[in-house]
Order: sequence, then structure tokens, then C-alpha cells
Amino acid sequence: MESLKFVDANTWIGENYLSREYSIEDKNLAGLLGQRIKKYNIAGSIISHHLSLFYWPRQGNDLLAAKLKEARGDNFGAILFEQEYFCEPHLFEKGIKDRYAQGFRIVRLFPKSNKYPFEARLMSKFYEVLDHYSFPAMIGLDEIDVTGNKAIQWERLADIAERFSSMPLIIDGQNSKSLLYNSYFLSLMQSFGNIYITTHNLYGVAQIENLVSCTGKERLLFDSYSPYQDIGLSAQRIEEAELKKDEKEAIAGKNIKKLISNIKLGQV
Amino acid sequence: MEQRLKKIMEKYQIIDSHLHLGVLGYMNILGDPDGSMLKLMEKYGLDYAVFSHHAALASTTFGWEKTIEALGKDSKLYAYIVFNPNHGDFGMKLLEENIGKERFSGVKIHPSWHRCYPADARYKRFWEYAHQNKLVVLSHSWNPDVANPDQKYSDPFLLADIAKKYRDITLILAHGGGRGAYLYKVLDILKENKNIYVDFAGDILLPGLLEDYVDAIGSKRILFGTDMPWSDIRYHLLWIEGSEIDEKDKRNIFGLNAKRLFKLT
Repeated sequence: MESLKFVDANTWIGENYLSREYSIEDKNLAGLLGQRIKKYNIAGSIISHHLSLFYWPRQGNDLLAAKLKEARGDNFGAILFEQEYFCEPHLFEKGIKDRYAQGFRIVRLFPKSNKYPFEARLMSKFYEVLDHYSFPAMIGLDEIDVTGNKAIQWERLADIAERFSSMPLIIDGQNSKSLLYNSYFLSLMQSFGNIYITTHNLYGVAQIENLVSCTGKERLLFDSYSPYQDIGLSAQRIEEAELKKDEKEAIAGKNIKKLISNIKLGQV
Repeated sequence: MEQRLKKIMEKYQIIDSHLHLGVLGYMNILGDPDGSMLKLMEKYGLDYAVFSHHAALASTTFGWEKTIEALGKDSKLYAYIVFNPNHGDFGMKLLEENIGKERFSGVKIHPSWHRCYPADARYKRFWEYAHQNKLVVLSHSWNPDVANPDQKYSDPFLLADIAKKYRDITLILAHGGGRGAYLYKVLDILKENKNIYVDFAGDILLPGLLEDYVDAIGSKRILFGTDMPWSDIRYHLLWIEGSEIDEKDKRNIFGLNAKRLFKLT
């Protein structure tokens, strides 16, 4: 069987200050990405930089922008939301356009880690811009878990998805117990056509197959969640899924590529 | 208020032994915090300020670059070298290459940030090195009985156990050991261990606290620390100046203790 061509919707580079194991050298990004093509057939990635999360989003984004110049093909950056825009929201639209030109294709939200709102009403001026350009937003479940013990604010996700229906809203499982959340996932995906879910921690028995059977092939996005999860494990799970070839291809890479190509900033 | 602050700066030598440069994503500080701090330092006549860079707590190589860069911003700035036990080889290399050089005043550790108990094996070679080289070590310290579970790593009693074992280290317990009853439990640690100092950096400006500390241990092991940009220096200046302690004690706390400890001229 011809191996699947992957595009990784969620991979991290840079130093994790808590662990060498979870630190990915960023000095030779082209080399790193080349290895991933060779080893896993990952032809593209949406890359986030640890510095954006652990130190300061804007500086991490700037650093990643410089690194992205080395990247080719379907390799793009993830913007970690820059809180400076709370003071000057009118600059957000230009900021998104500039980041797009630098090779960024997703905005990631870390409201718990970085202490800002994510709710639709409080973030509407930003979501409106993303919605206008169909620019994807990604939010992690750990980031909207109030207690850290599975008290996830699902209703607020629904509110965002409903009010900003042209903005793809990608749910990143992070380290949460995604295997427990099928009812929430299905409810969200069936209610809102702009909800997407990353695959790396859909650990439940036949969870990927079951979600596809209920909602179709277009709503799951392969992600490695590297370095927090083994890349091969994430990729092989899709390769080994009991799904049709076209379903696997969609999850492996076509879905995220479609979201990226739908961004209405192509002329920038 | 301006007048009171002006008098303080004219009257005392002021050395901030605990502040930070750089920003942090979750702090959401507006504007230019480094620029604001440097302006405040100038305005209120700080003689020296010893910082650890936020970037150095969050990252090793990048943090070191930012530390060096920050030292270039003002000659009154001195730096702590941050030791991150999760990247111990890098930290030890930094120490070996830089301790003793001008403008590196000591080492900053943050067991909560780095999620590593002081007695963890990852810290062992650092403690031994600090002991052999008689280093000043500023450690975050906090009471463990709070909602943030990471504070358990910085329990001042765990740090005191280290200071008892390695008597040639001068250990500064930051934030007076935390909140509530711990602020007074820490006094017992200070009474027993002459190699332990304390600062009240941050938002720990309780009425009467400074008076109680000076009564219990004297003023020579209390350092002036602000924790800027987390806490504005103006609160700290006014808190100490307004406390009911002797003039000589205020002088010690505002600057003389740090001057002696860090061998500043």
C-alpha cells in the first residue's frame, strides 16, 4: 500500500525549559523537516515555537518567522495570540496579514497559560477578523479546563463556533483525556460545521473510526503533538485505521491543507 | 507621595536585590516593562539592581542571550545566573564560565517554575558547587498550602534543609517564604540559620511584618527586593520607609545589606 502523505497540524520546536527530552533544536529547521519527510512522509507541518508559550508570544512568533524562511512546501507557522492586541485591537487585522505573509496559517489560543479571555463576547473583535478571512483558530482542551480535572468549558467553544462560523475552530487535545469526550466532540461537530479535532490523543478504542463514521472524514486533523508524543505513533495510528483510503488521506493531510487554502489572504 | 519618595531616594542607598527584566506571556504587561523599570530606577535613585531575566527562567540559551543583552541597558544592573535543574549541564557550564565575573552577583533558582524539589538529584551538583564557591543563591520560596500545586517545590523548609547541609551557601528566601502563617514560620528558619537571608519581593507588604522581623532577627539579613515588574517599586519604598523601625535598620534593608552581600562598591 502506498504510504499516506501527512501534514502535521500541530508540532512544537524550540526549547522546553522543563525538559531536554521535550526540547527540539530549532537551529536547522530545514534539516528537521527533511528527516520527517524521509522517516514519516510528513510533507508539511504547522509549527509552534516553545518560546511563544513559555516566554512571550510576540517574541516567539518573531523568532519562528525567521525560522520559517528555511522551511519549504507545506510548512507553516502557528501564531500564538499576541496580547498586545488587547490594547490596540485595530492593529490585529494588519498583524494577521503580516504574519500570513511570514508563513503563519493558524492562530493558537492559550488563555489559561497566558491569562486572557477566549470567550466569544470578549474576543469578538479578534474573532471577527479571523472569521472574515476564514483564518483558523486552534485552542487546547487543557487551556479551557477550569479545574484541570475535566471541567472543560464546552459551551463556550460552542458559542464561538456558532457566532464565527467561517472561522475554522480546531480543538487540540493537548494532554487531556480526549478518549472520554466523544459525546462532546460529536455534539460540537454535528452542531457546527467549523469544528475540527486533532487526532494525537484520540486514544479510545476505535475512536477515530467512530468519529469518522458519525461525522465524516473532513473533521479530523492529523497531528503529531511532537515532541510530547511519538510522531511515528500518531502517524501509524492513521495508517492503520480501519478507514477507506480517501478517509485516511483526508485526515492525514488533505483536511488541514484545505483549511489553509481557504484562508482568504492569498493575495497578500 | 512624590515628595515622600523623593526624600527616600535622597536619604538612602537603595539596592534592589530581586527584580526581573523581560516580559512573560501570562503577565500581560502593557507597554515596555524594561523601559518603565529603568525609568523608575533612575527616577528613584537606585544604586544597583540585581535581576534575573524572565527569559532565563523560561529558556536556557535564549535566556542567557537576553541576560547579557539586558546588562548592556544600564551599568547599574547586575545579574543572577539562572540555574535550571532540568538543563543542568547548561547551567553548570554557565556557572563555571561566569561566576566571579563582574556584574554577576549570584544565582537564581526557582524550584516551582522548574518543578524540581531542592533535594532532587538534579540540583545536587549545583548545591555542591555553590557551597564550594560560597555563592549567594536567591531562591523563590512559597508556602505549599495554596491552590497552585507547583508552590510545593519551593517550600522554605525544604530550602532550609539545603542551607543547613551546605553552610557556605548564602541562601536568600524570596518573598518571605510566601503567605499567611508561613511568613512567621520562616522566622524560625532565619533564627536557626545564619546563612539564610530573606526578601519581601512581590505583593507581601503586610503592616507590621517588617517590624516583627527586625524585632526577631535584626535587620542585617533582610534585603530590599521588589520583584519588578510584578510589583511596583514605589510600594516597596513607601512600605519600608513607613515602617516603625530604627533609621539604621532602614539603611541596612534599603541597601547596606545587599552592598555587603554582593560586594558592591
